[in-house]
Amino acid sequence: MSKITYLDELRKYLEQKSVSVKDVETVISDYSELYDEATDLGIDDMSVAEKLGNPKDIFIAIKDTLHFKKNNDNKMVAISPFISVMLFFGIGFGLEGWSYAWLVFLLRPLTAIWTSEKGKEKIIGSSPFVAVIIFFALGFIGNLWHPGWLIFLIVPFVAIVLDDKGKDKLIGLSVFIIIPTFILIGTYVSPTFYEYGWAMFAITPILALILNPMKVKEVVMLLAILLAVAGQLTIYFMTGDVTYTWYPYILPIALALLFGYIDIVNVAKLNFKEKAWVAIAILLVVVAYLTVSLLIPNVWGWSWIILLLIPMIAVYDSSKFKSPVAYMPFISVITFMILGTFFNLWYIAWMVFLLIPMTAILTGSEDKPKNIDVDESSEA
Amino acid sequence: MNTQFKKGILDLCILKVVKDQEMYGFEIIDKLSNILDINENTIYPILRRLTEQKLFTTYAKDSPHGAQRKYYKITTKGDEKLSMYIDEWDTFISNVNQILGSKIE
Repeated sequence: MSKITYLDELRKYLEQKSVSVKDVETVISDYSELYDEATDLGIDDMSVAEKLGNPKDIFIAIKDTLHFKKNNDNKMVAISPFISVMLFFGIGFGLEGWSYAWLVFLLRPLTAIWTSEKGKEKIIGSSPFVAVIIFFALGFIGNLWHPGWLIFLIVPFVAIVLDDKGKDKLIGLSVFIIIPTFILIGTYVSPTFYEYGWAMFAITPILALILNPMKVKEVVMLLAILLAVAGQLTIYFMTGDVTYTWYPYILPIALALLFGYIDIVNVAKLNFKEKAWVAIAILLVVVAYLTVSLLIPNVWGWSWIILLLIPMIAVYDSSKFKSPVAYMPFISVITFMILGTFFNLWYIAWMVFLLIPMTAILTGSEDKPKNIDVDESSEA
Repeated sequence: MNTQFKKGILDLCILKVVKDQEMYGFEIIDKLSNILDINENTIYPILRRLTEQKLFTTYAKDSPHGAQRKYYKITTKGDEKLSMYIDEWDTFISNVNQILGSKIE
């Protein structure tokens, strides 16, 4: 651990604990000097960090001498449930809007995110909740449940826009441009587009290949994908039957396995090795969606809920289970649709959305900074 | 040794070593942690607290390595506190020795 890393971790910890700016600067300055003094004596970085202690122990030891920021943010979070209840009944009684009034309970997790996160994390964290609000606005106002669900794609979309850079961003975003394009054309232009238009999903691997230095393997892979697309479209338009149209894709899939497609992307320095499971998982979800939609008659109305697994995968990839509430909008929508579609329980199904604020309340304390929460008796 | 007891004694020890010789932070840490067999990371919080309590004052001084170092110096208030601690310590030790002595007999 270098001095910069050590001090950076200490600073973050103190800031997380809402220590005043002045005290943070003083402590960091002191530890910076102590660090230098120790290294001047010939002590290596690892030993210095060990001798000076970790951020938590330091905080515990000096917290009696520290000053803390007045945390109005916590007050905002605390008061948000009361505001939500008032708005809920106001909208319910005043506008007869019981079916969507529950959305105001999203204020609580949204307030928590807005007050505890900074910069792009604030936007990424808010996106699932904004998506839910827009989804239900489209559904209740315009009866656009389908393709309104596409709004959930803003969750991974926003994360990619704000997190990824360069080629990765373009490749990542392509998936989330292709999905709505595919659905919107299939819904509003030509329903038969669903039967052959999924060939456009080949754009993503093609982009991944052509945006990087190409060797023989990549050229063969690219040709195999292009051949598969051509084969699929030819079979469809020659026979009008979708049953065999996926056969040509056996070739690129087999070649990808043979060549070690993930390795190809690694060589191109796309750092896809860590994200390989994400790409595979998303692909499986899309395949499951298409399989269910194409094989079972009249399921387009609800089969899209399968695709909600995509933003859930994105949430898992970015934060694992650090913020369980981030999953709840999707779990709630899936449960809502299942209860409504299969059991005709629309009139009470909306209650599943209360899971979102409930989860936020149950798990929120772990995410929030606390001022005085440390055991006094901790000893170095 | 009991933790709280050791913590109390540390205030006394730190005041004493700084009174004897003005030292920079890690010098104090290094010296005391070696003598008293305590973790180094316990010293800085005490230095900080004693400085907050105006028992120490600090000043910057160039080090042989170029960078400035923060030296700790005992104040008049600190000196008085040290005298009080030493008196308390002497009384305490005397009483303890008396107890131990009487038990042995």
